[in-house]
Amino acid sequence: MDAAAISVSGLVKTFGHTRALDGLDLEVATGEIHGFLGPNGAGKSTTIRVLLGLLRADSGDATMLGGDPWRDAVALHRRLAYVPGDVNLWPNLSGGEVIDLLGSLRGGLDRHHRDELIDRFDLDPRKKARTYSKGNRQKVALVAALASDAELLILDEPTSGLDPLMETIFQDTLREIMAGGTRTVLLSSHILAQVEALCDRVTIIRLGHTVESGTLAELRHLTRTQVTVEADRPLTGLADLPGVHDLKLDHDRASFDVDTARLDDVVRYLATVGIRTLKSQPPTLEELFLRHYGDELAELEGVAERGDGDTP
Amino acid sequence: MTLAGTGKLIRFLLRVSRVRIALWIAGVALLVWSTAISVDRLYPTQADLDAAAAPLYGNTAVIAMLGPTFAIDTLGGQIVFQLGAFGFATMGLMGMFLVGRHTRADEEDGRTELLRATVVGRNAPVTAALLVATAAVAVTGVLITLVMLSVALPVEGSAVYGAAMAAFGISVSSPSGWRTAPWARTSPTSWGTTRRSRTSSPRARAA
Repeated sequence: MDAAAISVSGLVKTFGHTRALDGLDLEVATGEIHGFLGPNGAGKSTTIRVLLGLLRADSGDATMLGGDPWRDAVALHRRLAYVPGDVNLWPNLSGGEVIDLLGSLRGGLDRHHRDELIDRFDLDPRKKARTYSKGNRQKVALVAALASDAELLILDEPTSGLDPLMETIFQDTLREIMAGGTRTVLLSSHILAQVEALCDRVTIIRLGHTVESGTLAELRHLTRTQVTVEADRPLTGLADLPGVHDLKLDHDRASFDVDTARLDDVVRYLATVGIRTLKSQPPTLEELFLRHYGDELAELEGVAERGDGDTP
Repeated sequence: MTLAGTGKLIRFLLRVSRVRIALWIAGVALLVWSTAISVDRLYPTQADLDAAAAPLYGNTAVIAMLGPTFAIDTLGGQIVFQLGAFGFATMGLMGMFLVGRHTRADEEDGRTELLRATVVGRNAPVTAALLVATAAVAVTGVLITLVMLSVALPVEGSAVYGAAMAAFGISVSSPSGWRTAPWARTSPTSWGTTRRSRTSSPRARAA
């Protein structure tokens, strides 16, 4: 049997003239934390809304927990919990009441785990929601979802508005509940450190379609490592090595990027010229991300320059 | 299954809006009560009622404001005339605002999404909102009947007036709900719910 918790292929969703999803593919295996990355407006939330049966896709296939997200929405919702990135609550209900409401609508939640999580996230459940900050509203939805026994957690930028301490607590809690190995998480995020820390595999989307998908190791394979080196002898051979880019050569000093897959060849060569100092920076997800969105950033920078450069 | 969870949602709406609903019901009932009691005290005899009615017949401005001068030489007729279109409008606003609060406002703020991700059917939120508004309007109708009975008006007429007010409230709230609900899902923005979509294909609210 196919172990995919979520399987989406060729998903298309248009809003008027806008193609929010344009042939999106997403494969999430049972038991993994799957990172779902993309810039604002890439279609992350739209995809999640389709998976939650809140929107109906125009075309393409989507299967979640063996069911159809639109047709079997009610049955599937018994088995999943959702945290939106921008939580709004009923101003005159307390946080505790909202957690219990969402729990009871889902079909019950573990009281003990709920209290423990409230404690851990340092949330005052007796306060009315209107007095909560954004971070506290986010905590309410997080506790409601994490205290559930849902086998699938759909988290749409779940820690937006949380401070770094709470971010750590969130990551610890998520790892704990994943320990059983039977639960699955789809984590949409643009906090790359969070994704690097938590996710087994990631899917990167852009303009409504999937640009890359795989384990972090697989994706790193596609990235370049930054190397700065100082050697005993001139580094003239570097330019001829395959996979070396952006070489800045100054006699016995060089800095360059190398395709991570070609790193071995480069190190072999460097060994022959006598390394004095060597600094290499492993590729971060950030770089991977930048490579996919580089042109958008360039565009943004262009705008900033025209605007007299007072926007970052 | 598109109505799954409606019962729980109704209980929830009554809980979350209990003050709002109570104020609406009390407000409309008080409006009717104050009118009834003042007309009753102001015109204690038939002669007073006749005198009050006389200048109103054919007074276009007053008729435009309050409606036709039907049986205004009776206590019930005068009370209903005084309440007039204003009374009906209040009932309508009550139904409309209660439905709007529990459908559009929640949807716009993303609260509906939070609920819909739980075991709640597609049409459960709007159904719950309509039933709650309908119940609130119906209770108000009963209170209006009781107010009319309290100034010694006939049972039949009192019941009919209460029912008419309630029916008007329902007729206003229901279309606003049923019209809003599907459009909320098929129009690109919230203001789209107030104007007809130009495309024939359903369009969902942009994420």
